[in-house]
Amino acid sequence: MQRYMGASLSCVLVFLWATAAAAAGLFATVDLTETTLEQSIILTLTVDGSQSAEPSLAELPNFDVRSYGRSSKVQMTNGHYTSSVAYSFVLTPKKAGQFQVGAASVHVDGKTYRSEPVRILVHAGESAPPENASLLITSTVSNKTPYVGEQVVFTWRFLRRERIGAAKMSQPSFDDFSVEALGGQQEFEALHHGQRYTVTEIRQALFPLKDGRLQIAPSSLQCEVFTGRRDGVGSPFDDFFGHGSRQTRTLHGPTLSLRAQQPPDPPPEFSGLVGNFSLQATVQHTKLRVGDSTTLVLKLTGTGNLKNALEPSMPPTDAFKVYDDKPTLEARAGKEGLVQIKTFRKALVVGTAGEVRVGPFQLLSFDPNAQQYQTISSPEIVLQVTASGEATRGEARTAAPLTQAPGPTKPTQKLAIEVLGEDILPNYRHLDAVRPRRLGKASRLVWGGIFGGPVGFFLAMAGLRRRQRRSASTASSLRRSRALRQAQAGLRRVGAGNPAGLPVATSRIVRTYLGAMLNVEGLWMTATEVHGSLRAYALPPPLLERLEQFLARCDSMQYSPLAPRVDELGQLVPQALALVTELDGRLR
Amino acid sequence: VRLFVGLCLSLAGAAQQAPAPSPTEVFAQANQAFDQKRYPEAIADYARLAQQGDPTGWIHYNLGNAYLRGGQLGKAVASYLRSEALLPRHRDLQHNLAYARQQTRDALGPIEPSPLNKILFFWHYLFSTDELLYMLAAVHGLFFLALGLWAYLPASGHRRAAASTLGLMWLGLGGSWLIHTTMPPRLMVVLADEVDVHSGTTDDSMVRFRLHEGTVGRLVDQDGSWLRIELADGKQGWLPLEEVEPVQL
Repeated sequence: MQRYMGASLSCVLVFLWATAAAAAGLFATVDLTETTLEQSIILTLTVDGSQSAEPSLAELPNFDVRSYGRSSKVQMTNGHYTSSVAYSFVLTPKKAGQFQVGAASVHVDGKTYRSEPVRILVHAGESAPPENASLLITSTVSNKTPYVGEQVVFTWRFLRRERIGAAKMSQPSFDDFSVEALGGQQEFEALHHGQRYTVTEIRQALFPLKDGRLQIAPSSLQCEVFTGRRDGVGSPFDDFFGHGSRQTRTLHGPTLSLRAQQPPDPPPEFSGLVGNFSLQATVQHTKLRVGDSTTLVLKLTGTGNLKNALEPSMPPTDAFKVYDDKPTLEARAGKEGLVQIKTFRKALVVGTAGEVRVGPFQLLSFDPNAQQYQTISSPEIVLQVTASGEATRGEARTAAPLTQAPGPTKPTQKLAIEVLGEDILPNYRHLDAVRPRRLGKASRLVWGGIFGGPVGFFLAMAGLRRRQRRSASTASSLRRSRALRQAQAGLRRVGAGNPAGLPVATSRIVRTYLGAMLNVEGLWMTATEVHGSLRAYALPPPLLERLEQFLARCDSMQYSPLAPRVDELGQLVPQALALVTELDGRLR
Repeated sequence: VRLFVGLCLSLAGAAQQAPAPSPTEVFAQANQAFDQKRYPEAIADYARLAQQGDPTGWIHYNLGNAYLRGGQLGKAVASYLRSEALLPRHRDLQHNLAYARQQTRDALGPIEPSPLNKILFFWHYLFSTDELLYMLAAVHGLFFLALGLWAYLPASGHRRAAASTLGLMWLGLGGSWLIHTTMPPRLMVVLADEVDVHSGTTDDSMVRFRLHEGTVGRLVDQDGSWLRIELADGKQGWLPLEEVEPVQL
């Protein structure tokens, strides 16, 4: 194992040495040396000899620079390891001319390496005229002389006849407008100058925020165009096998200019709304008791910018109290543009009996088509209010005639629940919010007890078990030592006594010893039983065989009608002593 | 005169020793200020409670509400995130955090672990640090009780299976609690209306993208007063520390 580890470590050290020893350097390459304002180039800075050093690219004021990722490579050539990291950048020219790119530096192992810059020629434009271009951006507005607050529909289109990917669009800049999306992005086919294009269209509703000359800065779109190989050595199988090259192209849309104007001579009550509007007022119940509440809903609908529209004015009255709710704004995209609906809700609590008039509500707006101010108004609403003790809402409180059998109830029309507004849920007010989160000062003791107690219990139980095992082991050891001593003493004693009784005495001593060692009654065990009991102790088979033969010989001498030979009797005690000593060493 | 001066001094001393309002009183004051739309006062009181000791998730939640009402979206998101670490399953908090995220300008989803991790280590994301500690304590007790009994009683298949299951739970909860306490996620919330995220740690380095108030990112590194952040979509860059609020969950 150690040998393998040593070999692996050596390999790693050799690899590291080889990597470190590889020559360091910094190289700049570009995929194109000539380009146009609409086509980006890819600059690659390759750092050799280091995986961690990052090159620092010199400022390129004539290009927009975007990182294009990093890739690293480790290579073994002729037994030498080389490592390099390539940092790629997409450079989009800002103006035509001749420039140098790729001047960069990197620090590797205390040394500074600089790259050789590359000369790039940027032409002013594409050779193909715009109407025949394969990629094209157009932008239009529905009205170039709008009033401040009037809706202008801005349409951005990207037309293409080539396969593209990884498109990234930078939105036009609408600094002087309030902007609302006008539906989602649309994809369709269309003819442009007799050519069929795939068109991506985005529409937005713009509301000028100030008068004067307003500009919509051009949008740009960067994408990768899939073409044949850049080196011109194209192959009919390029596209099939995915070997075609990809060119990064940057397209710019036109700059649009609008002249916005203020509505002429605005009267003081002018609401600031420019467009076509309508106002609708409804109440939930028209028959009420004093103290009852009903909801008044004012819906202002129109094509102007309603985001900051104030609510229509309401004639002051003491007949009811008004509680405002948060207004909501909905928007609907249509062919003519954006239609917004601003809904104001108020809870009215009526305080006097009789006829209570709500409204009319009015707003002054400017209609850009008619070029005049218009008053938008809702009709007056009359509430019938009775004193609180009187029966109200007649039909609900009228007792059903007794003769009329209760028929099946009419199915009521179910209404979809409309979410009128979203807001945060309320604060938590229970006092447990300010209670200490964890246990107080006693926490350490308590947590110590909680975590230490079970561990203590486990350790106590494990200790108890170990002690029991040890004490059992000690008793067994004592018993075995005593058995050995007694067996050796007994054998020496019988050896010095009458030789005729030797087989019986020796057999008894050996069997008693075995019984004590195995913790069983050994005196009456046969030679086979002794063999079976000792098998579990994994004693060597020759020893077991010798023991079995010894006991069998003792038994045969004991029960044989012929008297044993003297030399056989003389060997019994030494053999028994040798067996007991060997068994003791094995059984312990 | 001496008596008068002594009386004045003792009264001044008594005034100085007037007890500071209890957390319950500060909480009541903050709630009242919130109800009366005095949001700066509510923010000050809730923030005071949040800085005392070990505040509950509710204090951060109420503080987030007060910041949101007070027009400080970034601070509100930061407070809600702190509250979420302590109350990971509370619906009111989830609603308000989602509402605050809706108010942000950047179209970025929340920073979330991978779905596989959320399934495999569900308890890590489902429970707060405190809840994990309580569960760990319970499993710890059962586990060592089982080990103790197992050491003393003869081993059986059922006991072994129970002890193994408890052991796995102990490891899972313990590991999760350790990660929660020693390696909590470090986030940041943009406080400025708009902040440029650079490619390096100098003002003249290239601006990679712009972020707006309330956007949340993961803190990857710090270099002096510049923080390296990573967004939910993987974009990375450096921005100045003073434009964001770091949130240690």
